[in-house]
Amino acid sequence: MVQFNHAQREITLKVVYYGPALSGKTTNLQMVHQLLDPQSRGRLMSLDTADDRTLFFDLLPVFFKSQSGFKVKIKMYTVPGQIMHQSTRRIVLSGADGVAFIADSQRSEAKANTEAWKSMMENFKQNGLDPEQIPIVVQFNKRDLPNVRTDEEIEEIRAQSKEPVFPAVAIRGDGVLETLFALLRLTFRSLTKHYDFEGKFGLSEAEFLRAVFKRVAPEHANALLARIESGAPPVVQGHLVKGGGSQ
Amino acid sequence: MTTTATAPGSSAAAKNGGPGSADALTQRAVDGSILDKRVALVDLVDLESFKEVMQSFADLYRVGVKVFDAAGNKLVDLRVGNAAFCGYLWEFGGTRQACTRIVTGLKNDAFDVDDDGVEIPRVVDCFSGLRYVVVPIMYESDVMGRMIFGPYMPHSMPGPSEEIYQIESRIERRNVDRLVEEVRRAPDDLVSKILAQMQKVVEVILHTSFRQILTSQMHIESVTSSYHELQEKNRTLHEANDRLQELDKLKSNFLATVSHELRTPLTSVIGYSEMLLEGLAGGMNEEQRDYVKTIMDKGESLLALITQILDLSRIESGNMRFTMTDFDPLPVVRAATTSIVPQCHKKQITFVVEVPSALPFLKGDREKVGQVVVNLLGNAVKFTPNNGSIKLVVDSWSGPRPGKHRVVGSAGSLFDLPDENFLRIVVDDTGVGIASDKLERVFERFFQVDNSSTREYGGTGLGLSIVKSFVDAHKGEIFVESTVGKGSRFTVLFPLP
Repeated sequence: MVQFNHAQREITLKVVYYGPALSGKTTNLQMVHQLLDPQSRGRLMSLDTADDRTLFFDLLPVFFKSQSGFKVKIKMYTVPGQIMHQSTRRIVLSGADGVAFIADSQRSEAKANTEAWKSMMENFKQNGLDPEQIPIVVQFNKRDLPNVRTDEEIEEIRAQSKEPVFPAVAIRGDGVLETLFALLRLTFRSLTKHYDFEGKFGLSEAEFLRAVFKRVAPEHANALLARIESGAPPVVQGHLVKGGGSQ
Repeated sequence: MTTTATAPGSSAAAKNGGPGSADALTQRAVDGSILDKRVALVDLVDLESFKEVMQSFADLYRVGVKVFDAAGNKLVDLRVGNAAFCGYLWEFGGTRQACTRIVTGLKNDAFDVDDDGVEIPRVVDCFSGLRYVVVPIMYESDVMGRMIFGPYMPHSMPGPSEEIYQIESRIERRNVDRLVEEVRRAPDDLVSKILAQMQKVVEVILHTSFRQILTSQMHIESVTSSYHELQEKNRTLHEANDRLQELDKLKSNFLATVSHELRTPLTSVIGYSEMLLEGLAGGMNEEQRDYVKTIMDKGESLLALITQILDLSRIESGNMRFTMTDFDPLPVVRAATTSIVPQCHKKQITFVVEVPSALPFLKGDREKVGQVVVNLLGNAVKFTPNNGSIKLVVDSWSGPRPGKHRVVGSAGSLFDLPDENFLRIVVDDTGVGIASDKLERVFERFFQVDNSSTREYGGTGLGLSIVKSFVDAHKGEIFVESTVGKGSRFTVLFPLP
């Protein structure tokens, strides 16, 4: 639920990384934390257990000030994937302005992906949100593992689904920023439809995205920024984009 | 004005900003998760510990520290070295006014921002030549408050400023020079290093405690949410249970009605058969008599069955009437044993009866007590194979009531078990026996140990259920012990008055 604080000239957005247990939600956020400039993001807060399983959520705040003087905060959360944390997932998902669904590419996890997707839809409804209205991007993570769904299968899913689909190897940083980029772009577009960010707050899509991505690893940033300028689709179709994290 | 708008459903409300909608939205924000709330500096720091940290800092560097939260509340105020100097200037009207202006500005003036829009520390020079540095306390790009360091005398200043004497001519130079000696002199680069370090420390404190707050609050929220979910499920189950009970009652009523309606024509069938047998409609040959006898026998077993069903549905719908009187159980027991003897003969079952010559009087429904004995014996005969044996023992017995409240291994439940007097009826058989997992269920309505369509033993499965209802109505106890293949023992205890 986007929050506007007119007194403090502040806009707060919330995006959530959802997905089955151990699909790489936290890894995504850790890579984003690593790839973004420390100036534009806060500390990564992890509420986890001793064995590094997410207990409640991870939280990475990203913030910048718009040219029009508005402070924009993007709070990025992950949810705990294990079945038992259902109520926590619902609380964290509550009021999300956009969701990145991190699916596990391994064939053995197909069912877990489906279950997580269903629970997400159910949680949207229980939170009083229309799943049709929520911007969602899908990431097929762990492309480097054996016994994963083939590129052709992913391509077929991408072609058939209305959500943008990205292949990724989050642990190497591959596909992480592409996913975030598409997520933030979709989220911005969805919100601005209702709240007219450009007209009311002087905040354009290009400025919004540039502010978040301007200081990522240069070789990566250039490609992303070029896409912002040209308005080209963020989807890199059919093959992986090498991320800056592993370089 | 602060509005919190949900996307996208309530966008209209947020745009209109009507009083009603604004209230609703504010309320939602208030009730919302900790994730949507803004926390203040005082929520994040333990004030006493925070003061201690600041005190040690002030002691170490001999510089005063003040801390204000974003709302302007003073959390920490430590003065080091400057008290006498500032106190002297405060004595004079002109310098007092100037001092007030400086202090107000320190507390309230907005921070400048750098190119990225991030708040940066302010350096404030006092008219006296002393210097303050105001550092924003930042958390996730929010200004949570401010720390004010100083005053100190920067190395770059040779001494107190001449401005003091321009503002207030009454001030004496030798006093100023003497008192300023107590104020810390420090180079600016050292101060900025100290402050950078201090900012880091505070940021870690804030991050750590924010993490703690989120952890504990999320824990509470998750548990609360799960609790509500369970409550909701319980409610649904409860409703379903109520509905089932209602249906069960309807079914009982139906059974009662149907049984009653069946009995009427059946009585006629039996009655007319009896009249035929008695020759009221003229003589019959042997074969005809046999047929009519069969009609009458089968009619009577059908009537017994329907009566059972009617009894049970009456018990369940609370319409069974018990006529409680004091009576001698001996004739009742004798009558019951007599009625079962023909069946025993038929299966060549040895029937042993151990009944004393006199029994204490019982308070209860004579007919129902008799039926209990008949049903238990009938049950024993049914499940005992040919050439087996049945034993009935009736006596008076004293002891603690064996009930469900007796938990094995828990002495506490056995502390207060007074002895009671009972009429005890024990029926042993050498029948097929009942498996231990089915023992508890034999008193349930319609329950049959062998529930298959090819089962060996007939019956409705109502006999023992009716027995239990009758025993319960007398506030008695019934229990069963059994060994599969060897036989069963049913014990009934009727409390004696």
